[in-house]
Parts: sequence; C-alpha cells; structure tokens
Amino acid sequence: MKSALIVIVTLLLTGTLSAQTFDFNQINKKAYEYTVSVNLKIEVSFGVQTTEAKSRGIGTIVTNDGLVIFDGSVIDDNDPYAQMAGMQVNTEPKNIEVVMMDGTIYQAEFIGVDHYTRLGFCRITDEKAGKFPFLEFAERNRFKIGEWLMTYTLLPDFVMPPLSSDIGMISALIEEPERFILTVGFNELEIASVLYDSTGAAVGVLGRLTNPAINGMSTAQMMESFSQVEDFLPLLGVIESDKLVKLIADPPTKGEVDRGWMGVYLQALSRDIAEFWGIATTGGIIISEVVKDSPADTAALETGDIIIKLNDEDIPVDREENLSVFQRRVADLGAEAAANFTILRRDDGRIDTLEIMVILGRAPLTPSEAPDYEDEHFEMKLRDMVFADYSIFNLDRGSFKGVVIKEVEPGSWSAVGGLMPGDIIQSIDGRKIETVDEAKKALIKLVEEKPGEVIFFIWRDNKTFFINVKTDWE
Amino acid sequence: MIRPIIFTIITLVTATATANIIPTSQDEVYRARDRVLPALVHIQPVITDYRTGKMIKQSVVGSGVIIRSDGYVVTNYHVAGKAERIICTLNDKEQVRAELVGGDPLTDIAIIKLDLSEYNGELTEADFGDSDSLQVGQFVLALGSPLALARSVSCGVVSTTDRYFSGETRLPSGEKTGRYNNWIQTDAAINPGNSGGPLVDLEGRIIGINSRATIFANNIGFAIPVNIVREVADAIMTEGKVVRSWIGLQCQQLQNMEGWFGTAVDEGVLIASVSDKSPAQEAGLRAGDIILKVDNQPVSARFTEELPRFYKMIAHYPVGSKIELTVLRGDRQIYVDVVTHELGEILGQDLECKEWEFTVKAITKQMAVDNQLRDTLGVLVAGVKRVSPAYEGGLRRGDVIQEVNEQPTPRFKDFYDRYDELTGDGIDRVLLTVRRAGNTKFILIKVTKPKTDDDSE
Repeated sequence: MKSALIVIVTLLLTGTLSAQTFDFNQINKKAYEYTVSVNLKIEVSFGVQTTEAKSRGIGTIVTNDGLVIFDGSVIDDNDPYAQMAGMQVNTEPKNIEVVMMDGTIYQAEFIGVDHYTRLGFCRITDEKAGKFPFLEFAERNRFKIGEWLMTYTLLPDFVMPPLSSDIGMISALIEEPERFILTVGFNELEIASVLYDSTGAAVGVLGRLTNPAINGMSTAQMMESFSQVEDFLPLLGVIESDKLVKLIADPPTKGEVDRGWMGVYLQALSRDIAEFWGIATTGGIIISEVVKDSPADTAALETGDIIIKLNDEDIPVDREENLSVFQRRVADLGAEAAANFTILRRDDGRIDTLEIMVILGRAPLTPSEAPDYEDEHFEMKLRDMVFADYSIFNLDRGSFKGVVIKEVEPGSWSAVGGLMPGDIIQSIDGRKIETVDEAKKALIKLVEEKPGEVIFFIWRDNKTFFINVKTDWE
Repeated sequence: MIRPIIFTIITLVTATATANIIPTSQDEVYRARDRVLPALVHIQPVITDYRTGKMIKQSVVGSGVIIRSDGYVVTNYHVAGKAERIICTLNDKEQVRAELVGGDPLTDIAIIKLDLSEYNGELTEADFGDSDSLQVGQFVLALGSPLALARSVSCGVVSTTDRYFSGETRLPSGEKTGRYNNWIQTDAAINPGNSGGPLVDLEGRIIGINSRATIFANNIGFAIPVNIVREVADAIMTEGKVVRSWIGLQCQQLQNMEGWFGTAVDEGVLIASVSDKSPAQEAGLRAGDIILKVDNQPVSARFTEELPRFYKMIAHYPVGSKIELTVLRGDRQIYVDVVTHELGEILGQDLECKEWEFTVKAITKQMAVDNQLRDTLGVLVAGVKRVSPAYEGGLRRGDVIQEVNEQPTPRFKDFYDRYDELTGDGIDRVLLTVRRAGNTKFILIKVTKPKTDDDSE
C-alpha cells in the first residue's frame, strides 16, 4: 500500500515538472477559438426498435469554412456485428450542433466518418463560413518516449469555462502491426481531442490503435467470438498530423468512396504454416479467396497465393490481427492506383516467386454508405445491397438482387404486415426490385393507385416468402 | 335381493344425472388413470453430445409409455433418440434396461424396447385414441416424470388441437422439428421430464405424446398428436426409421393473398421458396407458383395450420415416385412432373477427433440446405475445444473441412481414414483446408499428445 502511494506521488511530481514547460496560457488562448463542443442527436435502430440518443463530445474546427472533426465512433456503423440479419444496428446523425466556447451555437451537416481512424467530419452551415478561426496541424514525425503531450477534456455543460487541460506521456513507439505513438495518461473521453507538444504545436489528435479485423467469419462464428469475454486494454495514442492533413483535404463523404480495393479474402501466413509449407519468410498473406471479376481476379491472382511484398515493401504479417494494416495500406493507395505484389505460388512442391500488378478498384460501399430511400407511407427505410451483404449471407452476386430494409417504424403498415429490418425485398406487388430507385418508383406508383394491400416478396434467414402489407390510405 | 337392485339403478341414474351437470366425475379420472398408469415408463437415458469439441455423456430423464406388451415404448426423440444406454423404471418400480430401436427428429418420436429377460411381471400396453376427433376443452390427463418425479399425473383440457410451429423449431440437439405435424396444446401441467409421456383422454387412451412446454408461461404445453405418433412408431418398429419423400419446397399460407394470386378461397398451396438443387428446382418450380393439384387431387393451405397436411402428402409418396403437379403460374395453368428424392437423415454421423480436440459431423443433404453449403462434400466441424491446438490454429465450429494435409476428404469415410492414418506416433502437425463463409482458410494443428498411462505415476 505504502509503496503504491509513493509511486503515485512520484508520477505526479514528474508530471508537474515536465508540464512546467508548456505555456498553458498561450495554448489556451488559441484553443478557445477553434475548440468546440459537438452535440449529436443520433437515431439508433436495433432490430425493430428505434431510439434517439444524444451525444456530446469535443471537436475542433480545422478549416476556415467550418469543417469540424470529432469522435465518429458513435455513428460509425461499419461494424460487422451490426450487419447481422435482424439485429442490424443503424446509427444516423439526425442533427448536429457545434457550440463554440463562447456559447455561440451553429448548425452543422454531417459529412462522414473515416473507417480507419473513426474520426467524424461535419461542416458548419452558416454565412460566417470562410471566416472561422481554425486549427492547423504541425508537421511532426519524430517522437520520443517520455515526451509529454497536452490536450483538453470537455467538461459537463453546466461548467464554465468548459475546457480542462490534461497531460499525458508518450509511453511506447509501436512498430507492429503498424506505427503508432502510444500514450499513457489520457482517457477515452478525450478521443479526437487535439494533442499539443511542449512548444504548443498541434501534433495530432488522440485515437485508438485499430482493432483486429474480423475476417470472413460466418454470422454464427461472429456471435461466438462476440460472446467471448476478453480483457481489452484500450490502446490510445496519436493519430499523426500527416494522416489528418490528408483527411481534412479530402474528408470521407458518405456515399462516395475512393479507397483502393483488390477483391480478395486474406489469411495471415503464420510461422507454423510457413514452416509446414517450407517457406522461409518472416510473414506474408495467404489469399484465401479471390472475388470473381474483381481487380485481383483480372490480374490472375489465385487462391493460395502468398503475398510477401506490396510495392517492394515487405509484409511481415504473421498473425490475423495484423491483416488490417495491409488492408489499410491497399485502401490508402486509392482507386485506380497500380499496386505491385510479389507473391509466392506453390505448385507441386515447387515454390515460384511472381510479380503481379493489380490496378486497384473502388472499395465497395459499406451498408451505411449505400444509397437509401425512406418511404413516408410505408414508414420504412430501404438501401441498396452492398458487397458485405452478399459475402455475409453467402449470396450469389450474379443472380441475387433486392433492396435491404434498414428500418421499419414500429406500428407502421410495414411493421404490422410483418416486414422487419434486415429483410431483403425482392419484389413489390409483382415488380422485381433490384435498387432503391426501383423500390422508390414502385412505392410511389402505389401511392397513386392506393391498393388496399401490397404483396412484398422477401428474403429472410435463407428463405423467401410473401408478405401481405395492408394499407390504410387517407 | 330386491333392494340391492333398486339401489344399483338409483346409483346409475344418479351418475347419469350428475354427468349432465358436471361433465367429469372423479370416477372417470380414476378409470382413465387405471388404464394408462400401468403402461407409464420413467426413462433415464445416457445421451451423447458432440457440440463442445468432445464427446460428452449426459444423463437425462424423460417419460414414455408402453405401446406393445412385448416391450416397445414410445418416447421423444429428444429424450432417447441419441441414447447410448437406457434404464427404465416401470410403474411397479422395477428397473429394466432398454435399447433404442429408432428415432425420428422431425416428429420428435423415438421407440425403445425394454429388455424383459430379468423382469417377471406382466406388461400392460396403453390403448391409442384418435387425435383427429379431439375437442377443444376436452378433459385430458398428462402422465410422466416432471422434474424426474416419476408416476406423476396432472390434469387439464385440450387448449387447441392444431397449433403449428412452421417447422423452424429446433430440438436441443439442433435438428429442426415439427414440419410434418400440428401440436395439441394443453393446460395440463407439463414440465421438463414429462417429455415422452402420454397425454390421455378420459377413456385412458393415448391422444398425444407430451413434448414441449413454454418457459415463463403457465400451463402452455404441447403434445404430438397420436395419429402421427402411431404412423411414425409403426415405421420405426418395422423399418427402423421413417422414410420420407422430399422435393424441396417451402410453402406458405394463401390467406389474404388469394385475390392477388387469382385463386379461389381454399384453393392451392403457395410456394415460398425452392431449395437449391432440389427435385422441385430441377423441375422448374419457383416461388410464387401455386400448386392446385397433386396427381389430380386438389390441395390447399389457406392457413399455416394446413401446411403439414400438404408436406405429409408429399412425404408419403414412395421415394422415386413421379408426381404430377398442376400449377398456377401467373394466369396460366401448367403441369410439372417432379420425381421425389429421399429426405434422408437430418444430421450426419458424429466423430470425436480426440487427438486433434474437435468433433465433426458428416454433411447430409438436409444439413447442406440448412447451412447454405454448396454441396455435401467435406465434414462439418461440430465443435472445437476452447483451449486446444485446433482452436489456437483457428478452427471454428461451422467450418467445413475439405482437405487434410492437402489431400481431399470429400466423404466422411475419407476424413475418418485420414484421421486414423494421421494419429499416433511421430505426427505432430496437421494442416486442414477448410471453407468458411465462402472462402478458404488454412488451419495448422500442432498436436499435443494426450498423456498415456505410462506417463502417469
């Protein structure tokens, strides 16, 4: 007990000493100009239930036209768990308010969430646009362990002034699975908050080390791993300024995706498997499936090929958790980029080394990015089918078509008739439906005809059937 | 001498008069009890479960009823259908062994046969009633071993005669059940342990086999109608199993959609889905088609409760029959010939791979349809031990093993042979190629040899 106390005291002392070098007043003066509180009203639908939730977090204005970054994890629904049938979680920002430190309130429009850093982006909609004070990130790529950083915590809204300074320390320079400047002393409430070094330069924002990717699991397997309770230590650290500058110049927009995509499923080449196959390598990636007609397919990559280099850089991946780093590297190259892969191909006991160039395609839309349509009479929200739907439910991309029900208002005609979120509508009133546009047309036509009942043909749980939705037009 | 006669008549008259006012007399309950109680059996099977990655034996308790005095007992499939050994306690409290004759997961019925070699008593068989003439509100008794309390009797009425659970209900062991039967719902108390016991009318005749109850509810129990039970029991006692024809259709009720599909009320059965690679698909049937006649016999299912009748009609055809279906497609009437296949086993054979610390199952046609597998090739991983080299190597339940050490194992026997070959001394690494959610995974298992007796002190 005693020794623990001493340690704490020592830490505090050190903290105080190092923190002395920060000019808090000067940083405060700037920070109060562009630091904001982002108040989100979110609609969360889970299964048949839809609830509204509020969230308040710290944000920062990063351009003079009012672009604001904030913690987007509350509205990032690009989560494989969320895509399970019938349990679809959809989060939709309904309203965003940006509150300046002086109390001025602006409305903002949602732009999108970057799926890797999980940073959210919104833009203030006000005539003052173009004249906002904003933060510029400083170029900085050398950090050392033991260096102190400071940031701000957003205090509850009844407290004035609403910001409190916090300091933390760089604790490790992580190299694998990817470069990550790990910190101690900060907490998860400070995610997306700007980090300053002792010169007052903004060197990044607080973020999380990417979670392990979940690759190609079936729904049941996902449920199983979901139910596994594992100790999870959140690894917080610096999202560095070079990444931020890129994102700010070209914020991720809902519905428009430019991430590079090759169309493969992957498995890490573990040391054990490499040894079993007699491959002398420190890691690599096994292509476990090539998506038909994808860029990888066109480039003649094959299932079983082992990627060992991307654009001449080694890929030291020997565990599944690190696959996401490779996926991100491919994504970051962008659509239409040429990616050079060095691969090993096993053939009758022989191992050949090949160079294969893949012209990357555009990453498929995620469910939340897919075009959608909300129908006011049937009180449901539909979206186009996306790549993930086909792969999760193991459906044939060539022959299976439909639109996915995102939300159904409880008590609506649709809900009473038996339609459920996660259902895939394949025809409405006998008309085949392949896109939300077609669904919209069919539903609008029904508004003119006002039939007493509408027959939907849907797919649910591996089966199709007909559902009769009774209507009650005014 | 005269007095007693007069007394008897009066008694009878009184009885009749009472019967008009109170429908059930205590005597009637006693009579029913006395007819069926001697045939009641308390069953304690040891069943096997492979779902945790190893074979686990479990001792369970259920009920049954003697239906033939030579020792045949009917119970639930979920009680004894996977039994390794069975011990029964008869109503006279004597214990005898029994063995499994056969089971049918689709109706949740199993037949066991008592070993009477060491039993000196006389067996009483229960009589069958007629489940098609049941009345809602009719008095019934449920007999069995609720919570293992043997020889318990409870009483209630028939709550519904034709409850239907769409065939998506699953038994504890994972098989789908109920597609071919309706259920009798009763408020006679049914608890765990009552499974397999008889539901009887006031004549003491079996009208159903109690199978399930609703948890968190009061007295909502379900029994399989005896007319189905008799059919299934006969098939098991003569053939060892129930053989059904299958064409691969899922149908739905036409209620409220007759106008849209252009059928008359009580006309036709609507096809909701057609299974991949099924006879129905090969014959060109599709969702939205309406079957009007089967071999010129009009069929209909306006309500879900009428679906089992149609499914049973198809199942009853001898395997390989050519059936002529009269089908309404849009506004045209067409004729489609379908040749039935055998429905086959629902779940495949189990194997515990002790050295590799997981369990597999042979893939049946029905499992392939159920799990959306492309074919029946390979073996399905039924369970993986949580702390094991297989789990560590990345093997998961639901994976389909296609190759072992890069040699294909399309059939269960191939896998079995490879397992046999690759276990034992000197083999410490095995590479499995599995399919998971439409893609391939390579799984390396570093075998840890189980301790042999020599290692222990």
